[in-house]
Amino acid sequence: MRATAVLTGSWPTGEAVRPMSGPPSAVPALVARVQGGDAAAFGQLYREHRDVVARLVFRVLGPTSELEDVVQEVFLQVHRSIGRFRGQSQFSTWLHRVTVNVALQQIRRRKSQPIAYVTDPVDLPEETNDETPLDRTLTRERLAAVYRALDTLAPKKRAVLVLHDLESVPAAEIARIVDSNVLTVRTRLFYARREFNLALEKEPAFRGVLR
Amino acid sequence: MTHWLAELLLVSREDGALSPRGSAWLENHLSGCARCRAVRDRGVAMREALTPLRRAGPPPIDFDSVERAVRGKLRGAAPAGGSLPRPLMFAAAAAAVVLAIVIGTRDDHAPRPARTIPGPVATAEEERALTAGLVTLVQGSVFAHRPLDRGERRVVPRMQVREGTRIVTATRAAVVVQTSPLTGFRLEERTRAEIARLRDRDLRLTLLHGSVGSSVAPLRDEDRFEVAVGSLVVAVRGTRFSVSLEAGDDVAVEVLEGVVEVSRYEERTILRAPARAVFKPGAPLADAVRGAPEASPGALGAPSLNLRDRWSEALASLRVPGDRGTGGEVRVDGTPMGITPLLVLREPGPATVETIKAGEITRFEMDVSGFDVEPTTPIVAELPAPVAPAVGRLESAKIRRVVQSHRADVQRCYERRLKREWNLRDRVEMRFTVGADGHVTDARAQRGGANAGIVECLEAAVRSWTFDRPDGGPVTVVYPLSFAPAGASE
Repeated sequence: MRATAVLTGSWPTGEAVRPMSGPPSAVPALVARVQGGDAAAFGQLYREHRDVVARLVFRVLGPTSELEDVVQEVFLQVHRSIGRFRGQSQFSTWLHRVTVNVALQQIRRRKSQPIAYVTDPVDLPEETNDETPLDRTLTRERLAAVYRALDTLAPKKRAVLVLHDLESVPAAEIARIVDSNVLTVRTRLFYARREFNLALEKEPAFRGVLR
Repeated sequence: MTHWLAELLLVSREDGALSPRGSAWLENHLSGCARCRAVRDRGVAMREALTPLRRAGPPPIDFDSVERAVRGKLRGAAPAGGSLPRPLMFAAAAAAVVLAIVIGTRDDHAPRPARTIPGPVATAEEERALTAGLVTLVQGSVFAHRPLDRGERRVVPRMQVREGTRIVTATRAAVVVQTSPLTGFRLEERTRAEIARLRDRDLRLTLLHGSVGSSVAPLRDEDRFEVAVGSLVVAVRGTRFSVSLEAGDDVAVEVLEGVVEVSRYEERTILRAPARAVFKPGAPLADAVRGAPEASPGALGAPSLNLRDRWSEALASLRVPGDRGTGGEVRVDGTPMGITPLLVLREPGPATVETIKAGEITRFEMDVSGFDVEPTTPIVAELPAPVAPAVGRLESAKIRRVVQSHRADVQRCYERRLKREWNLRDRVEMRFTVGADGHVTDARAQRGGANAGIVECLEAAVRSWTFDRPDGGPVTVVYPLSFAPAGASE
């Protein structure tokens, strides 16, 4: 039996290939439009950065029902403060700073009020062939243990440890995000890890890992 | 003091910020100090233990609702032009705190900001600027999710995907999406990606898990094509490349044609074909490029599905006629194409198509030359849709939304007990069944819940909740709830 098929066209030769000279997206122009009160530009800014913000909020706060509220607060804060963004750092750095500050405010608020947490189940990556249900359970338990241990840290130490050890942001970039210097960041990380490891040692899910 | 310094230098060394002199001192110290070696080894063990945790991402977020809430709150508000001087800011903050204490305001009891303000997600202008991608190949089980749609949709050829769509491929599945006749991307198996931006000549794909291969036509100055993985952004102008999220959060970028630019925050580097570089978290980008091996030709997939052959050769589309039943499988020249409807992209010339059902193989000959079909109007091949699973399905985001909307019930149960036990702290896993009509038919505490009073209250509360009707039958949900008194954390 014969079936239909086809197509015409030619593969691009690649002659016009050239790297981008500026930043990968036209963020400065977009920011300028937002600063000028362009609502559509703010919508675009939101859509371009919402994933990064949500991921970072999740990293700092852990599995929590507050995630959407905090993401919303971050973008409200971005709108309130973007007029003060002068482009002296990358927009992404500034956005990280706003995000971390809003997330830390949320942690401070938690500590001052009795609260019932509606903890969301963690969205783990797709299963891999070499991963057993036991592995996945252990991963969930460890993730919960990590955030219990993070809860014992002061907010500034928590931010540095999360950015460096969970989000893999270099110390120099963290210094720009938390508006500090690199040495302070490393010292803070050093103390944060000590306290974090001590807290994790008490967690059954990490038994045997740190000994 | 020396131990303290050694530990501090270990942190610096991780960032590659240790001078040769510092490094020599550290090595010398480590060689004679068992305590510091133990600290180093524990640090390595800890980072290894954290590696799988770094892959955990946030749960699905209804970004459209969040956007509407933000827009609702900002209606009429202009971006702030300047800041209060710091002392004034502190004074204002202090005044707010005092006021909150005096009037007893508690955020948890205040009405939550509405996230369902009706209105368009995008303005009319934005909507006009939006474009859609066309699904041109589906292999195996692929699902798409948009926050405002009703649940997940199975992806089929010719389906249009728009900005904000999240696409998930199952094991042994793949999907190709074209955004123009010469530009598109292919998500490999077990991949999760979101189309973060899709406008006229402007595509940004966020890779959350797995691997994406891309082909990009030579672009004009104002055009953009980017793949973002965490903080790493791969941007191109007319090339063919793939990006994979590997173990340990390493990101592998393979360039088969042209040039790509890789950036992370303020760092950026260029990769020229053929090249393959693995970018490690925290390591300078230049380290990955130095000594990067050449990319292997044809690395973007099986030959008959290779993007390279897409437009240079031919787009072959076929319709497999007749009822082959469900559970059938199609192969083209021996390459399994899965059981879903498919559009075959391959070189011109005869090919053999087989459908298999319960051991029965039916062959079709296919001639893919001599026809003149526009690339944007492919003919779709269709096979019977697979049987829906017998187990009920209810999207986790919908479950979460209902549970969150009843957060006050949970809070009430907790605070009622808190009056009797001021230091009550608990964690309860609620297991409940959502019936076919959306009502909860059974609710009980599966784990935790040492306090009987709170468990009874929660079970009664959960039984009164109503969810969307699950697809295909009742669904059992396990949902963790935690409680902590003031001053404590979760």
